[in-house]
Amino acid sequence: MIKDQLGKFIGFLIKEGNRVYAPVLRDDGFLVSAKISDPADVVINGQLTYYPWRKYFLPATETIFNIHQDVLKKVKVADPQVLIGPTVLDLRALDLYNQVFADDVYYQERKRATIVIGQSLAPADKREFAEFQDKFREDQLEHVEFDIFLEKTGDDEMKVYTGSEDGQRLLEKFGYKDYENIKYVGPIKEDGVDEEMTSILEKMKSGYNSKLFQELGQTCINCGKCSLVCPTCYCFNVLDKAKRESGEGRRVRQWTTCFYPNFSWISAKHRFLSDTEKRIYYWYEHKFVRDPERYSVPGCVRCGRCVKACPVGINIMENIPRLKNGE
Amino acid sequence: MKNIYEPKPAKIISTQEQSPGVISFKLRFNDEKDQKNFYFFPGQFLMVSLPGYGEAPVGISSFAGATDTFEICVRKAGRLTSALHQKKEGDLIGVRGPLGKGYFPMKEAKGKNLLLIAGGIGIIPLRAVILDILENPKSVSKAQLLYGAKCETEFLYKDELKDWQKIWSMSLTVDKHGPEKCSLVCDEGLITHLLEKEKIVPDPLVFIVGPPVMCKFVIAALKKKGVKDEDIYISLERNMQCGVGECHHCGIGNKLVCKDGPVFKYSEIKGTPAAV
Repeated sequence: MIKDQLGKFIGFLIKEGNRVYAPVLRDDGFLVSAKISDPADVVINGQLTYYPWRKYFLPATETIFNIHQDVLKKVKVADPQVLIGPTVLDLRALDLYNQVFADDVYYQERKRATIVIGQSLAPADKREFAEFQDKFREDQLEHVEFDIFLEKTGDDEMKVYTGSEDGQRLLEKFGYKDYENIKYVGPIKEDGVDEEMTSILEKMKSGYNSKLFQELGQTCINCGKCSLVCPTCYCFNVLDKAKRESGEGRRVRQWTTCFYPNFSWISAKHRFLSDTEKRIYYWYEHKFVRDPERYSVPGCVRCGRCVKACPVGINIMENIPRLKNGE
Repeated sequence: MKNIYEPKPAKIISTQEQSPGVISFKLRFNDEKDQKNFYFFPGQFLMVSLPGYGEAPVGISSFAGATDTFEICVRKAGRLTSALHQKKEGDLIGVRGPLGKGYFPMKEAKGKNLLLIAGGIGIIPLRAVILDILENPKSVSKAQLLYGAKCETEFLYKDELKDWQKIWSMSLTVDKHGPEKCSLVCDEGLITHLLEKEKIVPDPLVFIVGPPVMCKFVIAALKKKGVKDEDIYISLERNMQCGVGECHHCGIGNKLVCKDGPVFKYSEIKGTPAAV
């Protein structure tokens, strides 16, 4: 498929009545996903969007029940949507969500109503790119879920894969037949679970790395920006927003982060995560201990979004080797 | 697909003020089928809710063998619990559960000496254990209860304590004696003081429920007495938003208190940062 055809395909998706979301360049220079009305706005360049794609599966504030005259009422969950542009790293985060929210009716309905069109992440360097492409299909595409995947093969060219019948149907209807189908074999690679993940897990379980976390506890300012841009952060609060007089309102799930002081607060006026060091440890523990042990996939996809967002320069890419060394 | 967030309506059969600010509720699911399918193990918990006020985790305090009703006990602490305290006989509240795969191992306690340590409203889930043993007194060898509260008025289930004494070797303590006299013998001092002073049943299986700071000191005192980590069970309290393992507010190490607990064998969580 060439760039021109992709534009037509996006136009076709919009005409079919889908809500289409894809990366656009915001006027302040940030690449962000947005609702598309003109295919010409779409930027498919192999780069990560500043924010993750989480909100399309787990909205920032999601109504789980309407409250009518003090009674809970079911909600209609999801309208069909098409996401164009999540990278392999973003799709790996979805692998994790699929497991965390396996029993969750809201997530599952939203997922069923979503067509995911992924794109390959493009290294800037050309030689690096050739090497990367070589291992790409086998190493990566079999282990992430998507409906359609666009692999960059040249400046304006891309190879098209499908990963679901929905994806095939859409392409056929549009009139594009030159695609290959890839069978999803689950998130875990043939050579077993992620080695780096296992080694960090073992180190973290064998003892608390006080030097690293004391240091991070002194640097971190509890702003929570890392959680906002992290594709694998999914912690939320459940609360009722209702007008007392009328008995009308809704019960919602709302994003939060373990950096906020009330995250671990209990009614006995006790706060388990009582200082910054404990909170940032909890954040790392969630990604490198809890997620891998509970779901067999890493809780960090190494996208580096948090590195860009952190106002005080905390760099997870530098901390991962330190965790592995248990220094 | 079943919605794990959907509460089932339960009717308040009766309420009783247990102490200032603490009310117990006897409940029955509105739908007979829900009541019939309701079966819990002592130590498990429920998410209770009122539309407009939110949801909170509470312990189950009744005898697990009772089939037509179940009980909870709620201390007034915030918006939801204050609204619950306004509810009267016949009113409906939302209930999800029983939740948690970690509960008190009643099977393992068979034939052993059992020591329960309750601090404050920690007696609520332990009452389910106490009633179980009252119903099956021969299931354990010796049963001992240490129960501490701030002052005499703060003891819950005051009208039942005498019954419990028939089978349980029971010692009570208050942080400081209040104006209200207790009909039972009651010490003054922290619960760790009782642990040192009282004759403790030999080789006990220990169940602990109480505020975090109490648990820390009680475990240290038990260790001094040579109680093995594997013989200590502790119920952990955490901020819980979902109760079903999704919101991750209640993590400790690789575990979630709502899913894997709330009751843990101490040897399984020992050394985990910020667990106890």
